[in-house]
Order: sequence, then structure tokens, then C-alpha cells
Amino acid sequence: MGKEIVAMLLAGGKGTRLEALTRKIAKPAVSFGGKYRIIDFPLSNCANSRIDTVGVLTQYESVFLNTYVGNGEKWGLNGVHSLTASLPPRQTEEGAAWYKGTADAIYQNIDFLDSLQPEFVLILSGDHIYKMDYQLMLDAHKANNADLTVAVIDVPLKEASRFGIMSVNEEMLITKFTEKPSKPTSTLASMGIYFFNYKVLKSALTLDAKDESSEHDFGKNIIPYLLGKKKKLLAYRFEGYWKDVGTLASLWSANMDLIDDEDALDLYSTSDDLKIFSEDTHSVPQYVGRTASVTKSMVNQGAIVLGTVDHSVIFNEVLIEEGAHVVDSVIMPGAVIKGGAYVRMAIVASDTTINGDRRIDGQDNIVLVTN
Amino acid sequence: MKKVMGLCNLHSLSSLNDLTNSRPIASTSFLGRYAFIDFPLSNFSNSGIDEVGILVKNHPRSILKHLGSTNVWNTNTKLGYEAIMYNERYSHAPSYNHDINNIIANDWIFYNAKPDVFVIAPAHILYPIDFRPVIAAHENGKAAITIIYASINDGKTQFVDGDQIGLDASGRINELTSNKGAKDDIDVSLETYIINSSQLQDLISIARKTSSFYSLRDAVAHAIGLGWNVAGYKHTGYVRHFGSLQHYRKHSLDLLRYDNRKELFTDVWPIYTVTHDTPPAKYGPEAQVKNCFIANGSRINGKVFNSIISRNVVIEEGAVIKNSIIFTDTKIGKNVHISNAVIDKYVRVEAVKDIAGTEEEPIYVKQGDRL
Repeated sequence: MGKEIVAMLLAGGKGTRLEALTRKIAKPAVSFGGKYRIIDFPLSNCANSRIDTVGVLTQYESVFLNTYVGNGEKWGLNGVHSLTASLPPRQTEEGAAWYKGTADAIYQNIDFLDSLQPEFVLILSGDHIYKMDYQLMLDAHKANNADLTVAVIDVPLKEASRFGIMSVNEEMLITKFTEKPSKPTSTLASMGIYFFNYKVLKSALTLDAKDESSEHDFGKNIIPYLLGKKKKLLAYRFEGYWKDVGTLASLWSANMDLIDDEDALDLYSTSDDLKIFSEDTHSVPQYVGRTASVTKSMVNQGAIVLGTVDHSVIFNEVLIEEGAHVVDSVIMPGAVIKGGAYVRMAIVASDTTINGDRRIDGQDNIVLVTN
Repeated sequence: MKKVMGLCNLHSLSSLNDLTNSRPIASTSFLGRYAFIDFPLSNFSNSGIDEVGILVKNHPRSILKHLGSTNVWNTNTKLGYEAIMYNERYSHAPSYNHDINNIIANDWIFYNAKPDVFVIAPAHILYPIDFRPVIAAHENGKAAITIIYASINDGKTQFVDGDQIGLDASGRINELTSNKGAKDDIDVSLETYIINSSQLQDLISIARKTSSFYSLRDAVAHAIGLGWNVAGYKHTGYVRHFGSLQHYRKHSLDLLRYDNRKELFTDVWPIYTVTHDTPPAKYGPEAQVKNCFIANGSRINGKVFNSIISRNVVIEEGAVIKNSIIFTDTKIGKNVHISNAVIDKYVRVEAVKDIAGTEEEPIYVKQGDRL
């Protein structure tokens, strides 16, 4: 018997706009929220949605991500009926090629999907911070007998041109889909989360692979193609917190959202199946010293705070020395802020040391500090 | 290479008064993040000992809950294990519920696990140690038993009712007695024994022939009397004996001092524990925290000084906590003042506004209480 759902997580992108943060790691592996990596969110969502089979498509700096994903144990995706597979590009009888686009990445793993015989394939990306029960989306997909269901969220009109924007009719069926429109006519943005009937997906990908003019992209090619074929495309409206963290500014503000709006992501929920799972770091207990002041902040285990921290997110194994001042900043694992240093409106990358004579202030922009 | 098996011995009685009414010290919370048993298990793990038996005396529920089905301490998750060794038959017969009878009931360790050497270590004496050089010294000296010991200078108040040893000029142990607190400068047994398999079996048969009430410690004392070659191996560095609630509170809070912390927690000797996937600790605008360990998942908006705050604890604004230890999932309401107290799990303090113990007699609040 085949699997009802197989999730395919697109995690191959570099994330150029995150600058030096993705110099050595792929965007989905970027640190977030004091203890997590971005990819923990979709993988935890899969676990909490009781999806047990996940393929993670990796490409840029794939070794670290493949290792991090491992057998899925961090998210409990290694149980008896579970399967977690990292899927970087590979050599086959037909030769070897990089993934040429999101659709091509899935197409190159059609044999993986065939072996699992899924009824539905859930396409996810490793770029977003949100909590979502994918089963509710599948319920809508089934109830409407859709061929494809796209998760959508309302965005401000001025931001709409950054997203795949769609128009829908009164039954929430998609009538028009434009990838990054210069003059958006709707504010319903695609979240890059798709539920496909596998048969529909497979035939569309197979045709697309033969089309030399295609960019092999879900937003630009596959969805318009299915619309043209009069397939039933449903928009599923999501109303929770969702944030694309593709830029330094958005990554910073999503971190700050955890402090300023605790209910948005509900990280402190006591319900087990709303937790975000992550790597365990075997850190020492978090110590806050006699000379410390910590307010409006999140601080992870293993951190040592002897200085002043206000409105900031402090990761594991960070040392804030006495006399150091950290405000409105994100300090990633292993960074050291020496006594006398002042850091404001900044993201300090992992294992970076800020010397005591430095004064860093991103002011209206967020500044990234690396070694 | 000799095959080594670790036995974590929870039989040697150590009561922390009310704290250990429904749990052994092994699974009692420590520093907000650990259970005591994490330390011997990490010593085994870091020493390359992957096969471990846990000699459980009572409250197996609490031990099982902590160990769960995780592979936190094992290098190879197929070959390594932590086996629960429990003697159901004598669980309600205190005189017979000792480590010798437990090992007899679990004699598979001799016939299936078949190690050459056993390392037997308790959970109520805390110290970081690499067992490999101890085993090497044990073998080089052709000792029948090697006992790890420490020289202390506060024997009148520490290790009271623990084991004191006497050493002859050649470093052999010629006496094993109980420390009644008469002298400060004494050598104390860390109740850690290195013993070859055949000699452990000999020791057990001596015990059976002599007294049905003999514990392992009694048998070792008896063997010393018979002239066995019992060597001492001196441990220097951090070591603490947890014999009472006062010790528990004092030794825990003493670790807030850097010179103690740096001896117990080093980069080369990680302490492993079970992850609970809790988010980083969160500090509110009114938070004021000085000289504390703060565990993940806690949310603090009050004042906390010289204290240890465990997982998922909530401290509301206006609350003041001094010189205290708060266990997991406890809530301290607005304007509540607490000093010199140990507050167990799942407690809510809201109605009572003042809980004050003294250093000599800390107040203990039971698990689940409402105040």
C-alpha cells in the first residue's frame, strides 16, 4: 500500500539576500529564534501534522543540511512508519544535472515518489517561519476535490509584488496566478505550500521537463500550465503568523516578533504537538551573572550573560561579557561580545567575536556582523 | 581491549528528605536542566563505556520517565544501552532490597553482557571523571577492587554517613567505615568501584555466605578485612556528596560560582541529558535577574537573585525570588516573595505572598501544591 502523503521540502536555495549568513550554509539552515534553524519549522509542522514521510531536496552547501536532516530523529520523523530522506542532485543512468528549478528538483526525484506511491504530495519550502497543521489544508483539498491546493495569505498591497499573487472566485478556486506581478491586482499571496494529487503532479512535471523554454518553476510554469488545462486549483486561506525570512531585515524582524508578540507563534504553548523541535546542543545551563541586566529578550541554554541585554535574541554558547551592551539585536551561536562593546540593530553571525572597542549600530537598517 | 560495563548504582541510600519521597535522587532535578543520573551516565559515555546497567532500588517509574526511549548517552545506538536492573521480588522488603540481590536477580550481566571489568558508580555523589585511566591503573596494579576516593577537609559537615576509607603506606585501602562527622580532614569513598567480573562474582558469593543483608559496600568492607588487594584511586577536582535537602540547595547554588562551574562543566566533558524541545528562556520588561541559572521554556518578568529556575517556570511581575530553587512547570504569581526555598514541580504560588526559609532550614513546597 502506498503512502497517503509524502512531503517534499525544497531546501536547495542559497538565499543570496542573507549575504554572508549563507556563505557556508544554505538558507534553510540559517539560525533563528535563539535555538532553531529555519528548516525546523516546516519539519516540525510535518511531524505535528502527523506526516511521516519527508524528502528534503538539497543542493547549495548540501553536506551540512543533509547531515542536519539526518534520519529525521530531531523531529521524531524516524519512527517505524516514517522515512526522512535527503535528496541532493545525483548521477543516474541518464547522466547528472543540478536541479534547474523547483519543479525540476521534484521531477528528478519522481522515482523516489513512485517508490512510495503517494496519493498526495505536499510541496514545502525551507524559507518560512510559521506553524501550520497541513492536515486541515488536506481536508479542504479533499472536500473540494481539487487537483492542486495552494496555501495563501493576505499580504499588504505594497508588498504583493514580491510574491506569487492569485485571484480567486467566490468558491476560492484560483482564476489567475501571476508570479511577482509588477502591478498586483490582488493581495492573496502564495505561501509556496502546495498539495497536489500525485497523478496530476507527475504528468505536469513530465511534460514540463520536455519543454525547453520552461524555467521548471512551480509558480512560473506548473501552476499556469494547470490553470490553462482547466484543472481545479483551490486556494486555502491561512490566517496564522507567517513570515518569509529571505532578507536580513525580515530575518531580524521575525526574531523580534518572538519577543514583541508572544502569541504570534505561540512557542511557549504547553501542548506537545505545537512544539517546534530542533537539535539538542548538550549545552551547560544558561547563566546570568551578578553584573547582568536582561530585559525583553530571549536567551538560550549555554549562553552566559554578564553584560546588558535588551530587546534581543541570544543563542546558545553566546558570551556577553561584563560591560558589553546588546540592544535590538540577534546574536547567533558561539558569538562573543567583549566588555565595552556596543551592539545595536545588528545580526551577529555564529562564532563571531566583537571586540570591546567596537560600536556597532545598524540604525534604520540591519547590519550583519561576521568575523 | 578489555570490555567494560558501567553499573549506575542507585541502591546506596541518599535521601533528600521530602524531595525524594516519590523519586530517587537519580531522577531528581538538578540545576534546572539535569537529573542527577545524567552525570554518571555522561561519565560512562565520555569514557567510552556504552553498555550500562542501572541498579534501581525504588521508584522505577521516575527513572523510566527520565530515560524514556532516547539514545542520549550511547555512541552506538544498537550496541550501546542503558538497561534497567530492578529486583521486583524484594522491592518491598527493605532489608533485602540491596545491590547484591539486584545483581543476583540480573545475573545476565555475567552471562550475556560478559564484560571483563565493571565500573560501579552512584548518582548522589557528583564528580566529572574519565574512567579510562582509572581502569588502566586498576589493571596495572592488579588490584582486586579499585575504589575512587577524594581527600576532603570538611568531613564534619560533608559526606556525613558516607564512606570513609583508610589507606596504608603503599596506597592500599585497609579500612572502609562510615563517616560520623568526627573529623574534617578525611579520605572519603566516592562509592565508585572498579572490579573484574570474576571478582565481582566472588564478592557476591562471599556476601551470600556471610549475610543475606550484605550490600555491595558491606561486601567490599568484608573483603578488605579478608586482605583483598583493594587499591585507592584519588580523584581531585569537583566532588560533592548530596545527603540532605540542605546539601542539595547549598551545592546547587554553589555552582553559580564560576570557580565551581568551570570544574564541573568543561568543553571536553559534556553532560548529556534528555531534550524537552523547550524554547529559549524569555525575559519580560520588568525582569531583573542576577547570578542565576535559568532553564529553557521559562518566562521571567520578576526579580530573581542567586537562584535556579527550571524548565517552563513562569515568574510574574513583582515576584521576588532569592536563594531558591524552583522546579519545572511551576508558576510564581504576582508580588510573591520567596527566599531560601525549594519549590517542587507543578506548584502554583499565588495566594500566599511570602515564603521564607533559612539557609539552615530551607522551606520545601511539595509537587503540585497550590499556595
